[in-house]
Amino acid sequence: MNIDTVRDLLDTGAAVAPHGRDSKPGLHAPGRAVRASSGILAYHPEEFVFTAKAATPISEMVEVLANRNQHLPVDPPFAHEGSLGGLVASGLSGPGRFRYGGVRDFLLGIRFVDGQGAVYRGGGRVVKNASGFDFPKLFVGSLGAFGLLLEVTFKVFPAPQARRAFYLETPDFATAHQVLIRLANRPFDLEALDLLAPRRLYLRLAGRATAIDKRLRALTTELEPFGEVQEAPLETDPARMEGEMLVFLPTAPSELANTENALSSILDQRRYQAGGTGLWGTLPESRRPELARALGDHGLTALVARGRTGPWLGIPPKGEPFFQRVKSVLDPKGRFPNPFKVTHAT
Amino acid sequence: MKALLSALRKQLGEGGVLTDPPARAAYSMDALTAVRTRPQAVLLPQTQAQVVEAVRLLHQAGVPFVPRGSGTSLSGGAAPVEGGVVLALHRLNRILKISPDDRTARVESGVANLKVSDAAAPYGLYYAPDPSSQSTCTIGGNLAYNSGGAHCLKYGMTANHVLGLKAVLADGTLVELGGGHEPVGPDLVGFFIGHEGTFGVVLEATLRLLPRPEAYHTLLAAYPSLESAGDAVARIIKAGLLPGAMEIMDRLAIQAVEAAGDTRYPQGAAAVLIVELEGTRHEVSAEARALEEVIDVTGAFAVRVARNDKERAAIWRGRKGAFSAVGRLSPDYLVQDGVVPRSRLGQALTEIERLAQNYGLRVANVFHAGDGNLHPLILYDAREPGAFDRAEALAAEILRMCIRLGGVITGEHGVGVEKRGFLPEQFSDTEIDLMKRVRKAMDPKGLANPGKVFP
Repeated sequence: MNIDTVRDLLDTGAAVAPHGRDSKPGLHAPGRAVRASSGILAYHPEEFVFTAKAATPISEMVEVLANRNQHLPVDPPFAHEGSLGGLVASGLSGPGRFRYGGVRDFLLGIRFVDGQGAVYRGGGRVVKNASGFDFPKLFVGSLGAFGLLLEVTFKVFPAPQARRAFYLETPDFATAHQVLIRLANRPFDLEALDLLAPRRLYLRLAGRATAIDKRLRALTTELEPFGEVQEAPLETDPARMEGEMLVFLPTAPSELANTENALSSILDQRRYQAGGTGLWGTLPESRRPELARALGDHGLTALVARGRTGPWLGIPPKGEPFFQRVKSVLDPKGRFPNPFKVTHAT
Repeated sequence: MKALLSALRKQLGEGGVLTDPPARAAYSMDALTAVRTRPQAVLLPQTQAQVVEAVRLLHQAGVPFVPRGSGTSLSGGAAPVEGGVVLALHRLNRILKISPDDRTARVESGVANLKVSDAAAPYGLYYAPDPSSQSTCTIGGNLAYNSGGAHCLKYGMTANHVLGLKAVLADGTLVELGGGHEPVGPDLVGFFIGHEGTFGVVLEATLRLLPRPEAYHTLLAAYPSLESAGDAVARIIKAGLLPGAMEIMDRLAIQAVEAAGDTRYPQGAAAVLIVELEGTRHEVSAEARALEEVIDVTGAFAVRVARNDKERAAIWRGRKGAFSAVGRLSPDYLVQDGVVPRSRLGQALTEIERLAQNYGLRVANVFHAGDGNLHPLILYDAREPGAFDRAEALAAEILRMCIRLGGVITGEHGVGVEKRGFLPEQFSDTEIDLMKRVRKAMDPKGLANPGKVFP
């Protein structure tokens, strides 16, 4: 879709909803779909910088980077079906965010069209930048609220030479939780550290080929008292979790026992990722009201990555007054979605 | 002003509002010493409630204010404005909570950067952003200017390490944003960081802590030319290594730190390169071998590897003290902070050298080579007529060159007063207008740190 078409739609006064490749329909707001184009614009491996149009498939970026031994170290969820713009606008990262951070930590620059049809650039195409306001950050997790992303620039990293992944089967949730915190606080430089409730840990190491087996041995020796070690797959896309609905919740590592208590009877599968800072859970649509109630009772928010409607359930995130001020500048007429204004019929 | 000051005294106490000339003089500038303005008063709140009250009173009275931490800004970010007051926040310095299980620290904005790592150390954790001024610069200032440091390529800048914040907007509205490692919804915290004091005042922040690495490998290589040091960086990147830090200092900068203390860098170097690897013991030793192979073919005439923490500290002491050491070579200097794509570093340095010769000025280069962040220090003597103007003109040419090479005008110091004139060279009028409108939405009267960022 070209920019003029987007502008024409905005001129009609219609509500518009940014779409990427429609991999996470639960996050779409109602309204006429507006879409960016796709295609890689610039890739400089020696600079660690990659720029593409926003509807470019994540898989295309992954492949192009892999050819040059580089990667985007956040394990993008929905990597096989999603777009780069959707990755940014959903703000969702996968288990690999544990080592170096999530999407917010790798987005350097954007180009976007706002609610009045104006096109802006934010950020830059260099890995370090403190000039001007940080519009790229604003678009991370924005759910389309401030406009349509046209281009995105990411910082990318050299890919590790080798990887190893394994499970640790512990006796119970309490042990798994205890080991999770212990590992997260120590310098093992794990690439991923997830708790697959109720009692399994997923660990992934990455680095130099000549060191990885030594690191693996040091780690498994340390872990032997806590359970049994088994080989595990390297691929960990949460989108592969089966279930009618897939939700993501921010969690606090110290609070996982409470979270697990509150949600274990509602979410069929529960993957606490990245040292326990986020939870991926699955459930049937029929249990949506129950989930919404439990989230409300415990002051939690869940983003509906897969499901009939969204974008979130439970308590809306903090910061609405600040959000509204920014929104009033970028989209004063409210053409783009306002996730804070969505009311849920639960 | 009189009524305002008396209302402020009621809130902050007599000792919390300074109007005597020595105090006003002491707060008349930050680390950009070329810009000086005497504020009408200096406010010294000790609690968050006092900051909020002060901002509300200032908003009511329509008096501009400049938030200030320790005054270490190199871009004039805390330079006072005519007719305004300084809101000094260094007494707002409580570490509210270290949560080791969550790997977070909740601190007030006047806490010094290094104090966060000190407080986290007993748990084996630390706060990663490490500006050279980290022993004094405050978290509030770091947030306002999205400060960097030597480890940004691998670990990001301040914005990447702030999970939540509480702030009072310029019109007195309190806002709370974020809080956890993986929030949902727009990253408002990230957007707030780098506001350069123009949205309001941050009261407290929740910071991300990282486990302190098990091992470091800190290497210093001396080169016969600046170019060969730059080539070494390109080779390290090409080898697929991702060091925690890669820093270069040129001959003049080396002379300055040698004169200043006991760093004892190799004699006769035209450039030194510092490379630091960190991680697990096994990983670091594997990377160190790979690094050695790379360095071997880069033409370094001396290579030192720190054998212990003391030697590591000695290597870093020279680098971290470089700015103040250069101060000994020259009565005055300007520090630039432009960024160029890493592969353009050599070209940028050659161009800086050529420009410096044209202007008849000495330039010392100290820079974060890993992320292309230059820090040319332009030496001048303010007593010499026209010298400051020439230094500024040279600085301007260097910034333009950074933009031309595909970079930006500031990597980590912020725009401040110093580079506001260059914003239009990097951003279009409509983009600047957008930023101004956002600023106005936060600060309708334009009272928070006016005269910064925008031309």
